[in-house]
Amino acid sequence: MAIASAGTATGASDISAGGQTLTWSFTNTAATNLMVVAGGKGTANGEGTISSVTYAGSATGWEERWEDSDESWVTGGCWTNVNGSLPTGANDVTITFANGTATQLAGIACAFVGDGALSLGATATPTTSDTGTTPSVTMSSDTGRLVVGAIFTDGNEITGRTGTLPSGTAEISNIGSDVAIGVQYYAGAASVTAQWTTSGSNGGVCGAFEIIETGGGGRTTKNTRGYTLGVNVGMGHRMPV
Amino acid sequence: MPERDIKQSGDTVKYGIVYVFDGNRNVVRSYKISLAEHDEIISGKSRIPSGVTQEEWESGRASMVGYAADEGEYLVGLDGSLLVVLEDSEVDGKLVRKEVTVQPDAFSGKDSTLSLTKSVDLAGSKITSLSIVDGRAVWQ
Repeated sequence: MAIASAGTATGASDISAGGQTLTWSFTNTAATNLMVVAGGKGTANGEGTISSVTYAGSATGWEERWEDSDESWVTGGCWTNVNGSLPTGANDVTITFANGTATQLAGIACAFVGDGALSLGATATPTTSDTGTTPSVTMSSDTGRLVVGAIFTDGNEITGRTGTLPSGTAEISNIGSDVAIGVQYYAGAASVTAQWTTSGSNGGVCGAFEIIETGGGGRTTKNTRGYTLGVNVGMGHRMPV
Repeated sequence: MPERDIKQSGDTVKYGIVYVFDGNRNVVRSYKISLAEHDEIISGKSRIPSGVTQEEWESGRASMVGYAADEGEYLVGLDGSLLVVLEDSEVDGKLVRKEVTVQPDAFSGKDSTLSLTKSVDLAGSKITSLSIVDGRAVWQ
């Protein structure tokens, strides 16, 4: 596989109440890459929204891949940028949140590069978990592709994962002594399940999507087979209220 | 028993807080910065917040958060709950916040001299009770 991780950087808050933006530095090494930002926030009292992502102050090219909330505790989501014109070097990532009263905020910026141009394939329907300690999301993919999964959980700590961590720091646990965020990736296959193990069993949300390489050894056509995306695995419970 | 007036905050950022972490993600210092500086940073004009070294910022050991609620203000959650910021103080170079979430059913059918019992523990500072009397928050 010619698609490779090209670094990560994390941002997080500590105290709570009213957080609206989260900013941290990410060093981008290649102009023609794909950047992923998995952002999340704990919402002690309802669903919120990730309203925008910028890099070096620009929102150009950023698109939401998925976002979901367990409607009682956390909101998580993933944004990507494949416009090929991101500035290189150390620049700031900013996630802006809207609605709700944000408590803990967290984000992970990841870059992926390939021998050829990278584009996006399918996106799994995200899954939510309120009591499970092995949250997961399953999607169909194909060989030669990369599946990137991300999680934001109130389960305090990520203690295990079944995929590969991107280079750098791709997980943070015990943010504000409360929540955790993580990104991992898998080689594409007919069915890929991104799964984590968490120390706690409160709310969480996880999602996944494909990266496709064009002209560098990967498949060049989008997977159009009729697999059902976003199969929930082991997440049939709701958090007590 | 401390008390203060409270008022509703808007949804826009009013100031920033910079967090600097150690290698184990423990906060080693945190402090407020102005809204103007926050806005300059997220606009890409001024990349590194004041008080943070270039190494701390670019190594990922620092983050900046824009906050909407200041001391004495509350935010209304989507479910109608109130998140009240009672007090900000600095202890050993770290910002310590006392806050409490008041659930919406706590107000239903209650007298205007509402008294709630809550227990929150933030950075070792425990609030054991909160009363809201004619728009003033009283806690201990």
